[in-house]
Amino acid sequence: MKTKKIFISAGEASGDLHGANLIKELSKKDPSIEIYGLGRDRMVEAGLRCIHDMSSRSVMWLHTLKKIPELWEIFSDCRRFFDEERPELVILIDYAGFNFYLAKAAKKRGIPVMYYISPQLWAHGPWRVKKLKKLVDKMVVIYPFEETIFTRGDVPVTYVGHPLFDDLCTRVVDKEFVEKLSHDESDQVVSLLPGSRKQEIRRLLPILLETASVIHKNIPTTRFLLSCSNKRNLPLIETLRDDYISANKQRPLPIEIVTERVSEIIEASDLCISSSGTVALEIAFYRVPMIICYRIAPTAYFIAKPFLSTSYVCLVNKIAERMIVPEILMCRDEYKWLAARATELLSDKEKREECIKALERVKATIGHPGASAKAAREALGLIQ
Amino acid sequence: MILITVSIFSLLLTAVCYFFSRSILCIIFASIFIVSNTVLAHTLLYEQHAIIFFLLIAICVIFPVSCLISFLFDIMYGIFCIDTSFSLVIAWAFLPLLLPINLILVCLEN
Repeated sequence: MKTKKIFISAGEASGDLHGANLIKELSKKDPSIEIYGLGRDRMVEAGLRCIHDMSSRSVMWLHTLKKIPELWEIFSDCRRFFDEERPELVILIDYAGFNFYLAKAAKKRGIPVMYYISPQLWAHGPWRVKKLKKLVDKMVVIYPFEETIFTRGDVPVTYVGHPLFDDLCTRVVDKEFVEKLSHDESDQVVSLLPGSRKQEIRRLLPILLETASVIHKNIPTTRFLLSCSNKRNLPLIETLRDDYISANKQRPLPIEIVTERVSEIIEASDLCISSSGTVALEIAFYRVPMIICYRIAPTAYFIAKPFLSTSYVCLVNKIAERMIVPEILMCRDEYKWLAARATELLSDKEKREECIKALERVKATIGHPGASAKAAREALGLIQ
Repeated sequence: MILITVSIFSLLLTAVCYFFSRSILCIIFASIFIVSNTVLAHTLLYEQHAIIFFLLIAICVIFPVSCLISFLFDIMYGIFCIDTSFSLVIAWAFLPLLLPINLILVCLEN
């Protein structure tokens, strides 16, 4: 009997995590399946036979241009793999652009394509539904509102829930470490989560530090935790923090960098100030009030503004379809706005309670495990 | 002088209409901007430096307009794998470039 082969492609770190969970579920459901593709450490650990390691290939905007030769080489190898090995199914995880090319190459060869974790069409570029309709046999989406977009675009779609909750529901939070982080009950702990991409950190962290300084001035008992989600970003985060501290010696800031302990940081916090992204769902899972911000260059805002197709940048607000946590898309350094909202959420008990209740409702809507298993079932359905 | 004034105002109006998503007005003002600037560049350059004129038109008009047309086709029919919204960056970087070049040429002429 011929061995079934599945090709999976994920470029981003988050895609690697979800890809790894999907591989585990696929192998559990059908141990004879061989899984090849593009991924990172976690997917390899889960059993991926890696054609190319995609670490350090996640880039945005103009930085993509520098990576074109490398990406072209990877693409050529994938096409060769499609021709020689003829996988039964191609599964693409997010990473729009590059994955669209892979979808086209697979379609051309008559290989079915499943797209797991759609590009954020709800936020910008909804016209890309037409492209996906041509390139993809099945969309497997992770947000309830995405189902509507694809159904309207006449694309076969299944909503499976967010795979982040598979991980969160089984993750064991280090309570001892949480205790250590929030050591004094009388203090209020505010965590700063500047994102995982270097460009994003460079843009956002100086504003977050400035915000922290104003919050500390308003509520002197506040302490700050600065999250570094990846060890690779630690030197950058330390440099930015040290630069800020040495430039503001007259206003000392009680701030501690914590590396690769996002859940513990969130759990230990009274408030999170975070960059926009999936982390908002993680904060909502732990029912911690948050403020979401995204820094964009004025020229980029001018160019992108007419094409923004969502009223909310924060996923939590988008799911709730109302503003339950403060969010801001900044062109300028709006640290005063951030600090005012933060002070309000820290000192106004009623507002805090209201926010926590709304987060509980969001959690009840989306915070269930089982997304990876459902996605694996959809994938196997396509090859049987 | 009229052409310079028309160019400046049509560029400003294009930007305002673009920002507030008034697409038809934006296309009308952008067309006025392109035509007035091309005519101005023709008046200032064509007779003595025809090659430079064509080169400028290729870079500042034909290239960005072609990108915008590709973007429009992509929105309508979803034909490219690449995210063509990058065409907007190209258009805003190259189209207005002809105006300062024309202004410099006018200053040099005077």
